[in-house]
Amino acid sequence: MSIKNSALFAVILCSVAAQHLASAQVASPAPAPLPVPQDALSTINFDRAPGAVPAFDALGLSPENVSSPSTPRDFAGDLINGVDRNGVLQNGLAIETAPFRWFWIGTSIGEYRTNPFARWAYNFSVSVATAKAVEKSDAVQLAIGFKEVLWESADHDPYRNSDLDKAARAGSRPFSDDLDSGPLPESVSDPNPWAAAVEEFYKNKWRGGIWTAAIAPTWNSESGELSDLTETGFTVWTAFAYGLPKNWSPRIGSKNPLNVQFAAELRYRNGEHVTDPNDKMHIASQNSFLTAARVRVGSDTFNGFAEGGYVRVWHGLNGDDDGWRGALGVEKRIAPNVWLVLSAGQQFGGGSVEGNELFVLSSLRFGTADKAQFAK
Amino acid sequence: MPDNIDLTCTIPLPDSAHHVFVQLEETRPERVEYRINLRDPDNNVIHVVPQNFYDIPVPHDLGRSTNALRGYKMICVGEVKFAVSGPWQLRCELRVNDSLVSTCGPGALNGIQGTVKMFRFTCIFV
Repeated sequence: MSIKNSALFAVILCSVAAQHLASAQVASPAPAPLPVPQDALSTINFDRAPGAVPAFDALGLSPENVSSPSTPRDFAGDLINGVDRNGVLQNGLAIETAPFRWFWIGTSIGEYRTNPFARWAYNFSVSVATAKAVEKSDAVQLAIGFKEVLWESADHDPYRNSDLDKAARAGSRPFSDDLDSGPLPESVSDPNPWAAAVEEFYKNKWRGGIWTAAIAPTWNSESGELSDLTETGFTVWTAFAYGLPKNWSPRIGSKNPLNVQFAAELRYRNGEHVTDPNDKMHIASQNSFLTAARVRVGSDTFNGFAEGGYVRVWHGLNGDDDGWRGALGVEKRIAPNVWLVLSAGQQFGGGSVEGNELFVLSSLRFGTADKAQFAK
Repeated sequence: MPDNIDLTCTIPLPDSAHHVFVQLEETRPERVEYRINLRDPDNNVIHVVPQNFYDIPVPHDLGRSTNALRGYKMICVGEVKFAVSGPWQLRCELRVNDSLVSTCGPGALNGIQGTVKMFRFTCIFV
């Protein structure tokens, strides 16, 4: 299909989709308050990376400035800075650190590669975060998260990836006896083949597998003072992602590899305080269970995904309920910086989605677009 | 933070007939390539450890007792290839009869993924 024909086809698709959406909007009843499961469904994050930070995740934060102390002294300093001289918790605290990296324990590459306990210790992390509980109040929420990488395949790990090993050896240069004295020469040659290999590794980071688990208890202080903290529950989750190795990936045409990745998540949230947006006096402390899975494919010119999620809520604003959501999408590059995108999805549950209407969206995107929508 | 690690240390050796071993330790994993030479008091070079990537810590036998090494210099020259960004430290340990007798360093670098940095430890044995 030529570029001109492709663009025409896309415009037709857009028109059809726009008509469909318009008719759906006319037929829809006036918006009703979201039932709990549907609200919870909207929070399903299929892109929650195994690298998500539990304390930030528990409070729904994406902090821009995260402190990463590398010594116990720095960590203690950051914690002290999180409380003022009157014992009031400061809003916006965001710390992530790996405490076992503070010490010289099993972190040389030989121990890391051969000893799984050394890897677990190295990858164990602690996070701390605070956030305002409610706008225009003194109440502050606190979360302390603990995360562990339970398993990671060697090709996903930058310290054990064999392609990087080969690249390191390929770029080796002799250290002559003249280097025994005199000034050391500049370290980096130009062009730097190691830099290219590392860039290639991170570009293909969705190959290989990783499995993580995390828990983050949360507290709330109505006055904002440290002494008023009361436990409000916890979030526990586990996430798994696996991408087919390079040699197993199917190919589009003769040379374009199609990356394939599976990702899944289980999550339980206990004691989450929720407020009805239409009635601030209507509050509940709910528990929820979420499971979600996604398969994603991607190449330089084609991307696609299929995903599904299920949510169960106990003691929510509307009592107990459950619901699920499914979606799929594909996109094809039809010219440089022009992608044809088609996605569809459906959401069930909560009792107020009367029609369980199928929604179909299509769009044509120009411009900015070396970023494809469904690519990682 | 310096662009490389270049440290010179004076190492007092105990009175012993045991061989001296050298090993490198790092604060976090990275790929490290190095070789180790000895220089006798007349500055003649003795190749002790061939250039290679070693999964450190690897103890290397300098092939001489502590008493025989006085007056020698040991030079460990190498490169670190960063796969992950972040602070990184490397130190050189001298061991005799499975006991740590001295340490040179640590030297510190602020690693950036994809970069290559050199290091050199010069130990003067007295």
